[in-house]
Amino acid sequence: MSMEHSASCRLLVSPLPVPIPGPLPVSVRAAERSVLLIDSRKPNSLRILEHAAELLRREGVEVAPIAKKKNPVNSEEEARHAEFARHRGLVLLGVFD
Amino acid sequence: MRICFERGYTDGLPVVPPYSELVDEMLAALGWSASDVLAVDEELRLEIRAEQLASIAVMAGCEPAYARVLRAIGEMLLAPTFNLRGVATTTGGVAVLVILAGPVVGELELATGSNALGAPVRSGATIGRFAQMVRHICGRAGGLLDEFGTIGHPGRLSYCVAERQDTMWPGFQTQFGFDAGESCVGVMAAEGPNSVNNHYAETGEHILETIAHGLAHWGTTNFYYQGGGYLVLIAPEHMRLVAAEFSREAARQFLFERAVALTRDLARIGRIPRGIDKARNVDLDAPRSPVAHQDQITFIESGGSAGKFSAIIPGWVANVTHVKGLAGGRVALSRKGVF
Repeated sequence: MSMEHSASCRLLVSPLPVPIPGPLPVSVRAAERSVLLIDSRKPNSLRILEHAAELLRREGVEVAPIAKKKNPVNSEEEARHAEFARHRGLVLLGVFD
Repeated sequence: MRICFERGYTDGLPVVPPYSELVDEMLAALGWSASDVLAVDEELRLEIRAEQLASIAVMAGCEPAYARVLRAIGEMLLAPTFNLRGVATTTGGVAVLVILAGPVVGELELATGSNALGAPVRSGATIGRFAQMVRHICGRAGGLLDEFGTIGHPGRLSYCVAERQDTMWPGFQTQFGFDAGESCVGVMAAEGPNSVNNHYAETGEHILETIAHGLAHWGTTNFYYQGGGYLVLIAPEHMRLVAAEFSREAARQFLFERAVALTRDLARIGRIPRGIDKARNVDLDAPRSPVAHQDQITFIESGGSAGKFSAIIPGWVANVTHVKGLAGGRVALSRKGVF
């Protein structure tokens, strides 16, 4: 018994957001050996980040005091962003839990 | 279908494959061109174009006849004020509740009777699914971000409620400044519905007392931040008792005053931090409400005519309800809490 296959070519339209073309400037090496951790004030977040800070300090990495967002979701004010951008080490966002 | 699953297009359920001819038909109904840019994410260097939302509408199983509702939902979800990324990624695990009121409810044959939440009716099921898929796909930047909801709830597949056209109070949309005869659609980041059962009450006051107790249970998310709000869904048997004694405004005032817990109890069990927090208006000697303003409580009448049930739908703390008139024009936002 022979099998017949019907082949068709139909285009699917992707629902996924589209990347904006153009270069994305990224610094791959921090200017100094230090870390700034940013997170919310939630207890889980702070416990995890305090532990991470302790491990980093044991490795000789300078860790700035944890920067705590006023609330877990809303964006920080521009002045605070500028303050973070001035940090010459690695800036890491936390877990926000 | 297999390709849709492999490429991460779906919400876990089978979808209508977004073939270009179906997407084009949906775009025409939506009144957009394929390349219209609806939102730009500068941080992640992404943009969402009209063809993405049209593709999602097709996949969700929507008919082009729903387009005016879908367009309004899409515009509101992508507005920065809605905080779609937060809704998608929060540990709170909320879904997007779609709320429909006015003549559109009858025009699209939306379910307002038995099992109004979760009715097997195509319009409501697929419009609700469309909103969840926009959250799932666009809110997590096409898969660049994860969704961290600790528990989530089934509304993350589809979540839609429509108001009964014979509602005893002024329509849902009038709470946002729209006329009762105007078709409106709302979107709200919401937890699952909490059932409120009272079969023996003989007064509206006892029904509202029961609802107040549910609003202020110790586990309710809003107690600390007092953000978001609550949609109180009252079904007809309860509504007959309540509306006989209370105007909508009086019922809102009643709930605002009665839905409270002792702040010391909340602090003792860890629901709010023990220290004084002026930013959150924490006063250990005062009763605490899960909302900062009574306007954060809104009402809708929906559900079957038999059964003495209502439901409390808690909103997510970092979101406000958006409502848009389908005749075009403005978007109204619910009052923001402290968050």
